[in-house]
Amino acid sequence: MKRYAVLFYLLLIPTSAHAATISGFVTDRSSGEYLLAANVFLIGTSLGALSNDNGFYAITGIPGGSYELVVSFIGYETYRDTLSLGPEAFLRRDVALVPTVLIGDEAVVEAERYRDERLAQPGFVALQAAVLKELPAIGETDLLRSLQLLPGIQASSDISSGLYIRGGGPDQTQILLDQIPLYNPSHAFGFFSIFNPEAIKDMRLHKSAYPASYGGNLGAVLDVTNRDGNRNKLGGSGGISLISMRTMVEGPLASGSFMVSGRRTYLEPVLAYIRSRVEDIPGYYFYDVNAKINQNLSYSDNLVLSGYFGRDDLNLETSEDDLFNVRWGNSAVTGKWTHLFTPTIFGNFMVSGSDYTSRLSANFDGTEILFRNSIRDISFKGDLDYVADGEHALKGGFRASAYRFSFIRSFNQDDQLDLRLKPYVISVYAQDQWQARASTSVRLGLRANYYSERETIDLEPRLSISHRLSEGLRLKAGGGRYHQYLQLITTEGFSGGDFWVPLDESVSPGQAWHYVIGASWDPAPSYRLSLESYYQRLGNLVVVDNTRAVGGDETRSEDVFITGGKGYATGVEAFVERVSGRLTGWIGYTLGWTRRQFPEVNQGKWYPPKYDRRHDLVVSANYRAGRWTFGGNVIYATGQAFTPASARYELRESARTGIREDYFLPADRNTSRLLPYHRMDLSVKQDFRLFDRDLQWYLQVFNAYNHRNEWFVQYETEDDEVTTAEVVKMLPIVPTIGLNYNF
Amino acid sequence: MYKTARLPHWITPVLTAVLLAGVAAHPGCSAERDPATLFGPAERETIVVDAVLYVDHVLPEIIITRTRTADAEATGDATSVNDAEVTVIQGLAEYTYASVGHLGRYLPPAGAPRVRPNTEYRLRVRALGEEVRGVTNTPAPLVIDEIAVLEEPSMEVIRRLDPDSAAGNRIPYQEGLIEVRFDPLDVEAYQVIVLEPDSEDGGSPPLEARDGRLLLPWFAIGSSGEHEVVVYALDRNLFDFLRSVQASGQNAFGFGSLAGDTFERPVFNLDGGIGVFGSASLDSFGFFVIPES
Repeated sequence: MKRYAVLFYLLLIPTSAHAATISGFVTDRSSGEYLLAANVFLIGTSLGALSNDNGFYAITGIPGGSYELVVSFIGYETYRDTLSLGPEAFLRRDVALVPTVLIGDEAVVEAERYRDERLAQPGFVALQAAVLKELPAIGETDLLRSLQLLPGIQASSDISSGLYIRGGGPDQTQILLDQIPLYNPSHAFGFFSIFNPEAIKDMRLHKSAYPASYGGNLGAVLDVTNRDGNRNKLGGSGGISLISMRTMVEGPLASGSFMVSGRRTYLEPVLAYIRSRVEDIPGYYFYDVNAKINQNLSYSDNLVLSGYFGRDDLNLETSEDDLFNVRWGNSAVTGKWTHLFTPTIFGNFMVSGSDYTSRLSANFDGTEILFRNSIRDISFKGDLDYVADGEHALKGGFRASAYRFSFIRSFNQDDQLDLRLKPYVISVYAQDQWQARASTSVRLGLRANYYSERETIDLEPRLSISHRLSEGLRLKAGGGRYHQYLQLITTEGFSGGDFWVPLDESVSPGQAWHYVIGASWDPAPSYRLSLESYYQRLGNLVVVDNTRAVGGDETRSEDVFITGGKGYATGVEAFVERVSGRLTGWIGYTLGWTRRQFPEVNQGKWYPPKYDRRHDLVVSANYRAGRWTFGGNVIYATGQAFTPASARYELRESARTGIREDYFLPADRNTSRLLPYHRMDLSVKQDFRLFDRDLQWYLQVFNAYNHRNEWFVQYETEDDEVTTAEVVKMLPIVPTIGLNYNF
Repeated sequence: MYKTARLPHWITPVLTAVLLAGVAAHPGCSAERDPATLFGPAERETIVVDAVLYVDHVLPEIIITRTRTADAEATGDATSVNDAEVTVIQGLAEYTYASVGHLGRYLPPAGAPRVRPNTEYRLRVRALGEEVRGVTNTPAPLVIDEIAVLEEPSMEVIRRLDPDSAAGNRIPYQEGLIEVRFDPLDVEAYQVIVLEPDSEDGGSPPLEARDGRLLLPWFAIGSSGEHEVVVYALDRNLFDFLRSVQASGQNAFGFGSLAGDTFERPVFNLDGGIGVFGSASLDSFGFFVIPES
């Protein structure tokens, strides 16, 4: 009953009678893009608001009278206007702010956009396109690899862009692009992410304890937003690297804007040349396309249509009879309508469709092998923002998603696994952003999920509290309950052709409780410091069961997974960041512990998963000197856990021959460690003009001092006598050059 | 919004330089891996049992050895346990095995009976001051009823092979699919081993085949000439060992794991030791593979 009291409480929050309201949208005058988190307030009062994701703001409960309205946003001229409001007036005031950004300061401006969210919500990180492009990278700028440089986020290897956030694997992180879930965010087996840096506007990451507006995953949420497109002038940007070319075009269109971006590898001729001289070189390409159209339908209505299409294709033909093909890709389209119902009620409604297909086929000596996984979902989503009064900002919404899954495994013309499900998930949530005191804000939320396969309703309370101790110094705490209904089956060493399987009635969905407490301190405009401690308790975990008999007619989730797992992740993260000046960057350190336990794994004993890291230190810095920019990353982390061999034993291969075969007996799971991981990346970039165009060339060096970090250990027996334990190493030094351009 | 106090302007570059230098100079940069650290705590002297009972065959030879350290060299007979007390028990009958004296080989007593189907057998091994115990329940007899050659992709039967004689069973390489049909037994899985001339035995992973049908993959055929296909119906112990030892390949890239992270202790179903004490029933057929023209 207590659970429902929260909803009841939300419905009872009063609105102010006999008071005026002012609301509207805040935009960038140069591009027309909506500005998020602009500070709107009335001078001489405690009344104010922040613009939301769509640039909308509303101030309610204003006594009649004359006021000076101020709209400020870092990097823009402050807007001031004198207003006269009647006692029950509703005034619409849209504000277009004039940018004052100097070249090179974009990072500062953008980094500050989410200042209020950062101060209010523990575990929240915002990374902007400008910051992203400054970081040294391998090959080309990559969102997910850049995120791996933040505290609490790790990579499994040099070739993986998978995110391991606060002890959770990639399967526990939800990745959204313009609010559409993407099921496989990787190209090139995880080497690159699918996010074209030219198309990205910004990204928000909730490392844990995420608010009620999100749901469906046990760990983190990465919410990436693509650019809307410039409403005022035609332009674009792009880049050429050693492996791919990318470009983005944006400009005004009718009563709004458009943006189209594309990226494609051009490795085929190189691979074909190598293949003509060396056997077993595959053919490979990937491409992705992003498109967005933004239209103002009326004074209060806006329509956004967006889409993403991407594909990876690897083909290896070693002989007439042997071929191997892996193909995967996401397609997603969405239409979003935003509407201002009243000066205090803002809504957005979305319909989206997403399709993920992964197909691995092989033919060896006439024997065909096929793995095929597809997920299609159609979703309807709605969110309402209601500014009730000066203390309460309510948010509520729903999401209904209908899925169609198929996971087929066929061997030698025999369908060995045929798992098809059509589940649906309906979620509703309500959230109150309550300014309890001038120095204390509380975000209280509740999310309820109905999953058709289980026919139960899972309630998920969410809470975050932020208390200002002094100017710039805040204490934060948060927590919540989370469920996950879809399970990713992947290899952690690389991530191509991942498979998603829904949990049916035979397996309980994973669940987690998150607890976060921390403090943030902004001692000066250029500096941010934060310290956060987290604890996550996980239950009903599953891992794929690799010991199933081949050819089983598995049609239920319990046939595919080892179930009943539990675990925890805990740690402390320290983060120091400098966001302005010639030298920018951060130092992040994480001290963490992660453990898992399954009744059928490791003889039921607790063990650290591979991505358990005791220490993880990252220093990332950029130094700007005129047209030159120098960047560097230094990373140091505890070595990954691995399972060592503890003994050898012999058994006969078969009774017929009596030949004895050697086996290694493993010790307890992950009881040894690889050597500590460390590397340094360097980059140099120079801006210049050519043919009246802004250009930038760059040289990036991944693993600058060529330290071959350890990846995994493999044991081999030579001549049936001597055992060798070979450490397979990760990437050596990798220099890359490229060119970026604007037009 | 902010206090006006600022940190000293030199603090960031100095702090960064110190950290960069410190991390880059960390001893780990030049550390060489001591090979011994790649092995876990040694599990030596654990008794290893190698005993598989085949239905309708006489009690088999049993091998008793012990584990050695993972990095130790194999030296022939060094791991053999030749002085064990090995007993197979069925009902009230106890069959005491005799040591051959080398390679850990133990033979059943003279006149030992054939292994019965659907029967519980127990193993007791006393050696090295330890006692190992295991139990197996033998499967019912396996009888191959039919061998059909199917056309791809229609999967229509285009001809049938003789289960009892290889002489007339001649199949061109990769022409159709060979399907083995039998009455399914109450077992967890089956294993197929293709015996080829001049090559080692290669066993399949455990195959479920609840409908009593198994398709033979052509990649199991490496050469032309006479082949024998043996189908085993596996008891629980043999099934558990085979499925878990194959999944735990120490170098495997299994799904749901990092490279090498499927290295997991197999399921032995033995008390006091490791290895296999299992049983199986089997049937076989032969055929000739005609080379591609």
